Amino acid sequence: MPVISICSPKGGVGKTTLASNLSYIFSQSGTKVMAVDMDPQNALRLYFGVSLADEGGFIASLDSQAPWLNSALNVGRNLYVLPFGKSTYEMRRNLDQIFINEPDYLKTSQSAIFNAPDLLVIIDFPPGYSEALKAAACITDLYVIPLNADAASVSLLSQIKDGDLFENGESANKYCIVLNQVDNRVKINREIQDFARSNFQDKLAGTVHLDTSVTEAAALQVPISGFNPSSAAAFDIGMLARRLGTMLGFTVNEDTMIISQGQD
Amino acid sequence: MLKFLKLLGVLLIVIPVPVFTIITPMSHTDQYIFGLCMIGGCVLLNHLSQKHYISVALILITVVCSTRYMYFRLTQTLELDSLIETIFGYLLFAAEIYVYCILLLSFFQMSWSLRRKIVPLPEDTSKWPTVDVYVPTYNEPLSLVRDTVLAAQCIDYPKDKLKIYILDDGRRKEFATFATEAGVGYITRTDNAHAKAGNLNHAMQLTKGELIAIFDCDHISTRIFLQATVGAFIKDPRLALLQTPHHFYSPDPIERNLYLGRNIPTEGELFYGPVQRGNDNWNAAFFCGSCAVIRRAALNSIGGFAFETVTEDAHTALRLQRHGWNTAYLDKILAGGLATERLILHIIQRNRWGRGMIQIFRLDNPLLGRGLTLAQRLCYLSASMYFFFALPRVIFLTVPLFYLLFGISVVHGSAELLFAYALPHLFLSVYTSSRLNGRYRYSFWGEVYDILLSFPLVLPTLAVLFSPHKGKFNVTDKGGTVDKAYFDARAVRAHIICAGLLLFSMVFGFVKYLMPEYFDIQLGALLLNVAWATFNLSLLLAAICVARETPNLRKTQRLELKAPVLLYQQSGICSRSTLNDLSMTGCRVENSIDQDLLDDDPVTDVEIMSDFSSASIPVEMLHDAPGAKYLRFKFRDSDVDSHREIVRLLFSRADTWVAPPHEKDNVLKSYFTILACTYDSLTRNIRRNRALKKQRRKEEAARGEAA
Ligand SMILES: Nc1ncnc2c1ncn2[C@@H]1O[C@H](COP(=O)(O)OP(=O)(O)O)[C@@H](O)[C@H]1O
Ligand SMILES: [Mg+2]
Repeated sequence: MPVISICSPKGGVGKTTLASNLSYIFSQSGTKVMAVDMDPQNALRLYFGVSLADEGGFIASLDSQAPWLNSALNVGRNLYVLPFGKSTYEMRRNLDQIFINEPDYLKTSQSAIFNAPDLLVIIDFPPGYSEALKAAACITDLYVIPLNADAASVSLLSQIKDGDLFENGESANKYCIVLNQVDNRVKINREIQDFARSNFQDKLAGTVHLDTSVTEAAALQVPISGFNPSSAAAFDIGMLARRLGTMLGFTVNEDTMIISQGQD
Repeated sequence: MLKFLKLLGVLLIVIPVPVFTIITPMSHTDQYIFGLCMIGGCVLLNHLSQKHYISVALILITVVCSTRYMYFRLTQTLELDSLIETIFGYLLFAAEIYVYCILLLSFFQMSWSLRRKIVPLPEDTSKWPTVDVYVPTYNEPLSLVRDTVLAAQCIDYPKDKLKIYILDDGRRKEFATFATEAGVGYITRTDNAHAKAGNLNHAMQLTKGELIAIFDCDHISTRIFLQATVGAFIKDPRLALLQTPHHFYSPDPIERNLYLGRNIPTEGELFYGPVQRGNDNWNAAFFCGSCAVIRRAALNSIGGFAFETVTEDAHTALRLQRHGWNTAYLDKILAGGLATERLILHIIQRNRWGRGMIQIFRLDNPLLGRGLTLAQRLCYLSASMYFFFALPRVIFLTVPLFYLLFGISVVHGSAELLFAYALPHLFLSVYTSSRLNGRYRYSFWGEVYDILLSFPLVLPTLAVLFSPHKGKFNVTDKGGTVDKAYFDARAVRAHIICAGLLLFSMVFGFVKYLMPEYFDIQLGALLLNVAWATFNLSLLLAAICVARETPNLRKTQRLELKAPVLLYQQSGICSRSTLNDLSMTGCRVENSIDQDLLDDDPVTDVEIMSDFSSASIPVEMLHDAPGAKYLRFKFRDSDVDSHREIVRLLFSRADTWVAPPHEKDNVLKSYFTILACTYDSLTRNIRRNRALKKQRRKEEAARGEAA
C-alpha cells in the first residue's frame, strides 16, 4: 500500500539509482515491490536486467485503455518493474492531459497498482516538476528527494526547506531528503553534509557515499551488492531502506517486512 | 573547657605508655623478645582486617619501635673512640635521623587520604566559567605538541568558553602555522625569562579565561578533562588549583630496562596516589606543572606563577596556600603522556626537581612564614625535604665498607644489641608502608629508585642547599626513542664503583676474620656488615641494570578498536569494513574486499567512523599475500582535521587510561622480584645470543636437508 515517490529538482542525483536499489532491497526483505518508471528516458528497467531492445511500457497502453499492470514485468522474487516504454511526444502529451483532467487517475483508474494492498510502490520521476509528480500527490505516502552533496545543492536545500518544491502544503510534510555521493575526503562535501544535517535533522533520511560500485553495477545490470558485496553505497542504501521503513511504519530486516495496518 | 580538661586527662594517662616503651633500656634478649612481639602483633593485626583504624594502630606501633631505636642510637651508640669514628658515626646517625623524619612525615601525610569525587557541572552552561588551555613548549618537536593541542580541541566544553593556546618559547614558525591550521591561539615572546613560569605569566597577560588548564606539551588530554575538574571550582569559590595524575603510557627507563614486562607499579604511582590524596586531606595537594586547572583570580592574587625556583609548580601552590586558597587533587587519570625516554634524561629531570624542592626549602621554607596550617606545613615540608635523600642514601650504601675494609666501627656497642633494636624498626617500617601503599609501590623499589638517583644527585642538591639562588631551569627532553641497546655507563659509574667496593670488602672482611692474629674482627659485626653489604649490593645491581638501555620498539600507542571504516580505492570504489587496531602511524582493517576488485586498484584512503564524526586519512597500503585476513595501512601526512580525528579516537575517550589496580604487595616476594629482574636484565644478552644461535642452527639444518 505505501507509495514512495522519488523525485528531485535536479537530474543525475541518483533518483533512478535509489529507485532501483531500494526496490531490490525491499523485495529481498520479503515484500512485493513494484518499481514504476515515470521518466520518459525509460532507463529504470535497465537496472533490473531488462534488455535494451525490450521497449514496452505502460505508455503504449494508454490508447487501448488496458490496465498498466499488464505492462509490468516480473524481474525477480517479489520484484516487478513497470517501464515507461518507448514514447513519442504525442503519447507524452496525452499522458499529461490525462493527469490534468483526472487528478486522481492513478488512485482510481490504476488502483491495481497504486491502491493495492501488500504492494510497495516506488516511483522514479523525471527531474524537476512534472504533471506526473502532481498526479502522484494523492497516492504518495513519502517523497524521497535525493540531492548530491555538492555546492550546487545548497540553494536547492534551502528551497526545499522553505517548502517551495511542492505545490500544495499538505504534501510538504511528507518528504525526506537523501544526500547522495557524499565524500568525506572533500571539505566542501563535509560542510554540505553538516549544513543538511543541522537544517533537516530528522528529514535527512540518509546519506549515500560516492562509490564507483554504483556505476559499475549499473553497467553490468546487477544490484550494487552483486558487484561489490562490501560496497559502501549499497550499505548506505540498505540503511536508508530501514529508515524509510520506519518512517512509513514497517520494519525491514533480512527476511520479513511487515506492513503495518492502517497505512494510507 | 570541660572537654579540653577531659582530653588533657586522657592524654596524661595515655602518653606515658609509649614514652616508657620508647625509653626503657633492655638487654639484647629482652629487646629481641620485645621486637618479635611487636612484629608478631603487627603481622597479626595486618591479617585481621583491612580497616583503617588497624592501619593507624600499625603506624603507631611502628612509630614507637622506630623511635625506640632512634632513642637507643642516641643514648647508647654514639660514644665512639677515635675522631674518624666519631665523624662517620655522627654522619650515619644524621642520615638515620633524616630517614626517621621522612618516615614520620610520610606516615602523617598518608595515614588519612581523601578520595575526591568528581563534582558535576551545573545543567545551565551559562554558569560554566571560561577556560584557557595552555600548552607550553620550548624545544619539543611539533609532532609531539600537535597531538596534545588536537586532543585539547576534543575536550567537551562549550566552544565559546574554551580557548586553546600554544605558548611557544622557541619562537618557531612551523608552530605558528600549525596553530592557524588547527584554529588555536599562538603566543610567543621575545625573551625566555624565567622559563616555563615566565612563559605562563606572559600568556596570562594576553588571555582572559577565568580558569587556566595547563598541559605540558606531551600530556594528551581525554575529552572529559574539564567536565571532571571544573565543577569543583564552582562548588568551592576559594579553590585555586585542582591537580590530576600524570600518567605515562610509554615506559620510563626503569620500567623498560628493569621491569622487563612485569606488572609492577611505576615510580610515579605512589606520588599520584596515596601521597597527593593524603596531601589533599590536609588541604595541601600541590601543583605538578601539568594536567591541572588553576583559577586566574588566585594566581593574580599572588602575582602569577612563582618563578624564583626551578620547580615553579610546587612553589606556586605553596604561595597560593599561604594566601589562604584551597587546593585539590582528583585521583582520576584524565590525560596521558610520554615518560622520559632514557636514564640520563630521567636523572636530569630529577636533578631539576631535587634542586627546585631544595630551593623552596631554603627560600620559602614551609615551616616558616605566614598563612599555613600545621598540617600543610608538614606536607610541604615532606615534599621539599624528600630530595635530601641522595647523601643519606650514599652513606647507607657505603657504611659497611668502613668496618669491612678499615675496621672502623661507626656504631658503639655490640652488633647483637644493635640488631635487636634495628630489627623491629626496619621490619615494621617496611611492613607498615607495604600495608598502606602496597598497591602503589612494592617494597624496596623505592630504595632502587633512590639509589639510582643518589650518586648523581648528591653534589647538585648539596650545592643548591648552600647557594639556593643558583639553579637554571632545564627542559626534559622527551619523545625521542632509544633505538638500539647500549649500556649508559656515565649514568651509573659511581654505582659500579660502589658495587665493586662492596663486593671486595665482603671478601676482604672474611679474609681478615680468618687471620685473627693480624685483625680484630668480631663475628657478629662481620655478619651484620656483610648482610648489610649484600642487601646494598643487590639493590645497587638492580639500579645499575637500568642503565642497560633496551631499544624501545613500541613508539606509539596502539589501540584495539572495532569501528566501521570505509576503504576508498583508486578507481573510486568505496567499501565498508571493520577496523581492527589503530595507532598514530597506521591501522589494520579486516579484509572485506573481493580479491579481484583489489588487484591493481590499491586503497588510497581510509575513513574511520565513530559516533561523533569520521576522519578520512590518505594511506599507503602495505602489501600482504592476497587474501590475507587483514589489510594493513600506513598513514600518509594528512590534514589537521583528520589528524584530530585519529587523536580523538586514540586518546580522547573517557576510559582511555582506565586500568585495573595492581596486586597487593608482598614484602618478600617484592624483594625476590627485584632479584629476578636484575638476573633477567643481566642475562638478557646471553639468552638472546643463545636464541639467535639456536635459530641459526635450525636454519642451517633446514638448508642442509634441502641440499
Ligand atoms: N552514490 C553514487 N556513487 C557513485 N555514482 C553514483 C552514485 N549515485 C549515482 N551515481 C551515478 O550517477 C549517475 C546518475 O545517477 P541516476 O541514478 O541516473 O540519477 P537520476 O536518476 O537522478 O538522473 C549514474 O551514472 C549513477 O551511476
Ligand atoms: Mg533517472
